Amino acid sequence: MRRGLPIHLKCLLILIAAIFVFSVVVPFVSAPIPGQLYGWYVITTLCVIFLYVSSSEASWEEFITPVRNLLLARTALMKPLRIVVFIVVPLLCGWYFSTWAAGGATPPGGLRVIHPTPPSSVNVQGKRFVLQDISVSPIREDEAHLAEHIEKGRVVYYENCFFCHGDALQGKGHFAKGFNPPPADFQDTGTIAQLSESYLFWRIAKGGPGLPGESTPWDSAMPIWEDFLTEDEIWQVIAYLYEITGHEPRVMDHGEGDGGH
Amino acid sequence: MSEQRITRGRSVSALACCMGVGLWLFLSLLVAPIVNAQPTEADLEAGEQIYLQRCAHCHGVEGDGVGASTDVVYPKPRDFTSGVYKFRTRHETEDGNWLAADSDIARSIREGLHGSSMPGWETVLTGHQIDQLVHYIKTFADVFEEDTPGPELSFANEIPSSPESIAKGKEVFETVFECHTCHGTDGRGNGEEALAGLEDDWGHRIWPANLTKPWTYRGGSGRRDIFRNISLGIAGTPMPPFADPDPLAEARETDDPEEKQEIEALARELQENTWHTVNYVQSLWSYPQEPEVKAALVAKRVDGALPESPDDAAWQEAAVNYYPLVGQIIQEPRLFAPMTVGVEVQALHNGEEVAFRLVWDDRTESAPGENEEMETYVDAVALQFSSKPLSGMEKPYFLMGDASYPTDLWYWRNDPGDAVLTQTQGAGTFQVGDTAGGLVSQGQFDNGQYRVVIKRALQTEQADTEVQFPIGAFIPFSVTGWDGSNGESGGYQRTVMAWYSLYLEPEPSKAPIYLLLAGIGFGLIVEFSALYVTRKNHG
Repeated sequence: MRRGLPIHLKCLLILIAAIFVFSVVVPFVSAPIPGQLYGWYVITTLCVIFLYVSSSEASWEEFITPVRNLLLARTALMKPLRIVVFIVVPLLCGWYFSTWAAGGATPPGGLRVIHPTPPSSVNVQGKRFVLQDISVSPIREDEAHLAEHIEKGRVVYYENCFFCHGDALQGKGHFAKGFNPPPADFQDTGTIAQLSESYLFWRIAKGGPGLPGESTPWDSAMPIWEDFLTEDEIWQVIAYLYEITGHEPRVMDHGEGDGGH
Repeated sequence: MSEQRITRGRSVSALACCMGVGLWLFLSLLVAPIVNAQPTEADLEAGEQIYLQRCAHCHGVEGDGVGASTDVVYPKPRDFTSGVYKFRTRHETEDGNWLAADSDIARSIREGLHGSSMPGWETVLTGHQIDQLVHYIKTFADVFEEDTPGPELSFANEIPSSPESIAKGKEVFETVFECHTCHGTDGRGNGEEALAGLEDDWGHRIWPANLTKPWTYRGGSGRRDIFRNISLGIAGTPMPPFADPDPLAEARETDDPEEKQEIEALARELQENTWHTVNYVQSLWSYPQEPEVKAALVAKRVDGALPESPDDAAWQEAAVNYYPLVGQIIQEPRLFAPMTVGVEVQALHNGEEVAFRLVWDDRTESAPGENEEMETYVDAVALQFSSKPLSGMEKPYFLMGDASYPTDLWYWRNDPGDAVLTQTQGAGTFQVGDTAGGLVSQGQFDNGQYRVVIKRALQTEQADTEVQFPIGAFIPFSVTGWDGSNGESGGYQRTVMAWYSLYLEPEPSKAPIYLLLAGIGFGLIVEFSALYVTRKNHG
C-alpha cells in the first residue's frame, strides 16, 4: 500500500502553498490583497484543510491521534511537552489578539471610482457634445490627414501631459510622485484600452474638477484642459495615445439591441 | 527498488544537463545581438524609427536638443550634435574629446537620468533596440567618425567605507578637490560658486547636485558612479575631471627608480583619495533612496510644553515623514522647473497644542529684488488644511480649495520670519494674510536648508471657519512651498503635493492589555475543553 506523505505535512504544505499564492503570486500578477480579505482567504483555506482531513474516518484518525496522545500525555516524553503547549498556545492567542487590535494609524482607504459613468453631454468651450453620439473621434473622419493629426497630438502630449503620465506613457512622469491618486498608466490594459475616445474627450476637457463626487475630484491633479487646449488638440492627443500604445479605442455600438437612448 | 532509484537519479542528471545546455543557448541568444560593434544599414534605420517615435519630442528631430518639451524641462534635453556626454567611463581622448563608449550611452537610455525627465527605457525597449538607438544617436555628431573613445577609467584601489575613511574623505572634499566651493560644506549644492551662478556649455544656468539626495544624482548613486563622476567630471558642465588618463606616462619615461616609485605612489594616492571622497559623499546622504510616502503623519502625544525651536531635541522623538514636492502644473501660470525636491514633516501634540516641524533644502536664501536678471521673491512654506469641519470623504480641492470648501494656509516666509493665517478659496484668491491667527512660529535658514516650526492650539473660537484638530481622527493636510529665487510666488507659481492624513495620537489606551488577557483566556478555554472531551471519550 502506498502511504504517501504524513497527513500533517500535507496540511502544512497546502497552507504554505496557499499563503504563497496569496502573498506572492497574486500581488505579482495583479495587485496585493487587502488585509481583511487576506484574512478571510486564509480562514477559507483552513476550513478546506479541515474538510479534507475529516473527509474519511482513516484520515481523521491519522490526524487526531497525535493530538489525543499529547492531551492524554500517555508517554513520559509527552508530559513536559503538554505543559509547554499549554503555556505557549494561550500566549500566542493573547499576542495575536493584542497586536491585531493595536492596528496603528492607518487612514481609512477611500472607495474611489476610477472610471465613473460619463455625463450624457458636456459643454466644451461653448460647444455642446452629446458623448454617446460620438462613436469615433471627428479627426478620424479626416483620414487623409490622420497621420498629421497624430503627429500634432504627439507635440501636445510632450508640451502638456508627459510631466505626469510619463515619456513611456506608464503614468511615471517626473511629477507623478507628487500626486495621489497617481496619474493613469496608458500602457495598462485597464485604462484607455477599456474606454471610448468620447470618454477620454470628457475626462481631458473637464479634468479632475469635472469628476463626480464618488471619484474624489478634490484629489485629482488632472487639469481642466479646455482652458489650455483647443477642441482639435484634445482629439489629436487622444489619437496619439491610441497610436503610440497600440490600444484600440472602444467604439460605441449603435447597431440593433442599442435601445437605451 | 534500489535499481529504480538509480535510474531515476540518472534521468535527473540527464535532465539537469539538458536544462543547462538549454539555458546556455538561451543566454547566448540574449547576448548575441548586443555584441554588435558595427551597425548595419538596417540597424541605423531601425534606430532612426525608434528615435523618431520615442526621443525626438525632447531631443529634436535633428538631435540638437530642441524638441516640443525643451522649454518646459530642467535639466534640458541633451544636444546630440555636440557629441558631449555627461556620464562616461572613458577618459578624454588625445584630441581632447569626451566621447562616451556605446555601453555608456546605452546605460543612460536603459536606466534614464535620475531626477530628470529622462526615464529609463528598459521597460519599453529591448536591449537590441537600445543598441540600434545608440548607433543612430552617434550619427548626429561627426566627432564619433573622427575619433574613438579614450581609455577606460580604472576603478582600482577601492577603499571600503569606515569612520576613518569618511574623515579622510571630508578632508579631501574640502582641501584637495575643493568640492565644497560648488556643492557646499554640507553637500546641499549651495557652495559659493553655485550661488554666484554656474552655466553649462550651452549657456543655461545650472545648479550642482544636492549630494544629500542620492536619488537625484543624474548618473546614478552607485559607488562606482560617484567615483566615475569625480574622476572624469561631467562633460559640458563646470564639474571638472580629477583623474589623469595616463597617470603612469612619466613613470615609463624615467630611469630613476625613486622617481618612478614616487609617481606610482601619487597615482595610487589620487585613486584612494577619490574613494575616500566617495565614502564621505555617501555619508552625507539623508536617505539612501527616495523614501516611500506614508499615508499618515502621526503626531506623537507628549507631556508638557511643545518645542518652539526647530533644533529642539524633542523633535528627535517625532516620526519623520518625507513628501516629494512637484511643480504646480495644473493651473496657469504653471511652474515647470521647480528647484525644491521634497519636504520632511514632523508633528507633536500635548492635548492642548499641536506643533509642526518642516525641513526642506533650498540652495538660496532669497529676498525680493536680489537678482537683476529675474524677478525674485521671499522663500516661503505653508501647511494646508480644510477651513471647515469635514464629513464623509469630501475634502477641499487640493490646490487651495474653492468657494464652498476654503482652505487654511499656515504661511511662513523668511522675511519677516513669522507665520500668518492665510485663507483661500482657490489659488486665484491667494493673498498673504495679515494676522497670526494664533500661530506661533520660529524658522531659520542654515547652509542650504530651511527648518521651521509652526504651532497653534488644537481648538480655536472660530470652530466653523478655522481648522480644528480632533484627537484620534484623520485630518487632511498638505504642504506647499515657494523658492523665491526660482521666481516662485503667489497662488500658482509654487511646489505642491497631494492631501495626506494627519493623526493626533490619543492617550495611551489600556485596550491592548485587556485583549492580551482575553487572548490568553481564550487559548486556555480551548485547551482545557479539548482535554476534557478527550479524557471523557478516550481516557
